[in-house]
Amino acid sequence: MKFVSIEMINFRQYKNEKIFFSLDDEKNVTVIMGDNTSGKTTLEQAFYWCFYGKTSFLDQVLLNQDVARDAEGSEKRQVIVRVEAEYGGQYYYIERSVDYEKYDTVSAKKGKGKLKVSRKVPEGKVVLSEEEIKELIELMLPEELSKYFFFDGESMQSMSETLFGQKKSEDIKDVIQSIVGLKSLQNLITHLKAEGSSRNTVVRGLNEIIDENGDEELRTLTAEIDSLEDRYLKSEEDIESCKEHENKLRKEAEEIGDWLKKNETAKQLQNRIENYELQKNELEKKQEKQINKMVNNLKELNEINSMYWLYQLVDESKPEKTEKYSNLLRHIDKGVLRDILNSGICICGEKLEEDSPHYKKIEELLSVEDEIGVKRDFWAFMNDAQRKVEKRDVFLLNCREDKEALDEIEKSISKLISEIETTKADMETRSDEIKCKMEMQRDIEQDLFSNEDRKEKLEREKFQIEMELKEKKEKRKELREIDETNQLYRRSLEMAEAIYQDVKGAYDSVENKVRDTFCDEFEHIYNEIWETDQEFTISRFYEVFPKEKLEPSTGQKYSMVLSFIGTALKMAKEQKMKEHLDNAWLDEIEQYPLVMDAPLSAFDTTRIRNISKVIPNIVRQWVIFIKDTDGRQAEEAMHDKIGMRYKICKISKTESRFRKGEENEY
Amino acid sequence: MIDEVQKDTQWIRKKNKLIETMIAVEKENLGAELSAKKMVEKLQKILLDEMKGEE
Repeated sequence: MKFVSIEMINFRQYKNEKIFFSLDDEKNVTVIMGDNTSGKTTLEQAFYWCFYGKTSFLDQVLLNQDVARDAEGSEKRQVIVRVEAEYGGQYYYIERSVDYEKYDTVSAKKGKGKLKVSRKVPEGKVVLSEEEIKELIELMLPEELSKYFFFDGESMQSMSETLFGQKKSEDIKDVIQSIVGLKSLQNLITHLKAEGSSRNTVVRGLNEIIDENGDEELRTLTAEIDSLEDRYLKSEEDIESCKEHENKLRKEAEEIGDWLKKNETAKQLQNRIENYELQKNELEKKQEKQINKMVNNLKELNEINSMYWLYQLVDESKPEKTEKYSNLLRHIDKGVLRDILNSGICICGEKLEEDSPHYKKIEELLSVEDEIGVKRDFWAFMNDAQRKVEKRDVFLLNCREDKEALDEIEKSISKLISEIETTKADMETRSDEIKCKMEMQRDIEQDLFSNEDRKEKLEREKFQIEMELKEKKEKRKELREIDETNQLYRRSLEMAEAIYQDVKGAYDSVENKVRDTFCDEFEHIYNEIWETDQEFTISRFYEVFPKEKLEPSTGQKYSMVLSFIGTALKMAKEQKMKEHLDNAWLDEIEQYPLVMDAPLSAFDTTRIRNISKVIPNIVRQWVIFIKDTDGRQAEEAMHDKIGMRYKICKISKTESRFRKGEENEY
Repeated sequence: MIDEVQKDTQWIRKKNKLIETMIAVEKENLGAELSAKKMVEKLQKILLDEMKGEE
């Protein structure tokens, strides 16, 4: 990077000034001379403000006092600093401006103002975005490095304290690393694994992501799942065996059922017995009836027999049938005769009058009535007896038939009784076997029932296991996903660790080389300036320690600071690290210009001459502000290196101007 | 573990390339201190992508 020009409008004592810097690689020095309070520090601060919006002015007011005074009312006045710079083969215009109103001149600071950056292109200018500006400034001239390139007496003093270990600073090491191109490598190491710090690093991040608990949980869960699966299989087997047992039992039951069906003859036998019994009962009733009938017949027969014998006897001694009226009176009793008499008319129609023949006849009949009555009864008896006697043979025949029927009935009954007894005996033998089968059937039914019970219980258990398994497997799936990611993270962590060790090893070794080289270069530059043979050691924090005891004067200290900066810039310029490290691992090294408000008055003539000789050779561009009184020595020492000369002319307390100087003017 | 990684020839071939990529990321992020977290995320991503690529 090189500065091309700087233009300042209303910036402190510079109302409208622009100067150009030498861009010549051989004549790379721009000398700006001015007395104390002429505006050397203001010029250095103009650079600083333009790039970073900061200054170290105590009052912080940037607007030129004359301009502020002349401003009217609310009229705005603008402070502008424009720097043109070359970076990476391109030209950039960096412009910072801030508006002041009248009252602002007495008020406090105006802040950073507005930064505008554009890039020069053949057609004109391209304005950069805010993001691009930020990036460009960071690359071109990072702020943290700026204090080593914009130098004044104050920063020289502060740095000397740091260098000699009077003031601790870790910055300086970083700055050197940045200048020599190790910043990115260093950042990578820090980002990979910043040991002993709480920073967010790749290794820490990966360690945090890896879920170690997940692994343990997964192992436990897998063991649980295995045991559950065993139980599941066992329950499946148990259920299967239950089913087999059930089938076996059902088959047995079926067989017994079939057997029992086949043996329903037993029931038939029973039915038969019952049927026989019914028939027997019927016959017995019939028998009783028959017997009753026969008893009655016998009674009747007895009567007939006695009648028979009596009839025989009576028949031999029966009265004369020739007697008068006997036939008539057999049928007419006394009562009928009296009724006829009383009615006065005979049955033949003849009027009955007393003493009439008919009347007398009937009276006569009445007088013989008793005799007639006995005869009539006798004949009645005889008639009856005769009828009965006549029926006797038929009756006897009937009796024989009845007896035969009874015999038949009794025969049937005995036959039935015998049948019943035989059937019963048959049934008795069969029922034992049936009983046994039926018991078996009952046992099977019982067994089936308890088997069903067990099967249901097992199925419930199986279902529960299944549910539990499902849940656990789901959980395991989640954990396995974590585990897979874990493995990925672990491998990544291993890689990060391996990369860290590699890069750290490379860095450590190169870092030592940087310090060795740095030390050599430093000694060389310092000894050239101071014309001595001093040896130094450089600590890990880039503190400088002379090997021999030395109480350095201010000049010596400032020479060391200059040598230190010079060493860093030389190493950058010569790309020293490329000897030690792969180019890809190094940052693109930028050669920074050195803008120095040099307190040359701290040095004697020889030192000024030496510094003037040494520095232009090791930096790319040197802008040096020197006092008029130091000008001659500087000019003598580096006249062939000076490309541009300016003199600051102090017009008044509130205005300075530049005047271009001529070679050997001083 | 690291030894195993170091012995892996495929990995050794890749390693330098990976480091270069990572340094390139660092170079892009010169304001590293400010975006350290972002940076770490980026590096983790590079490693994980590399891992996935390996698989």
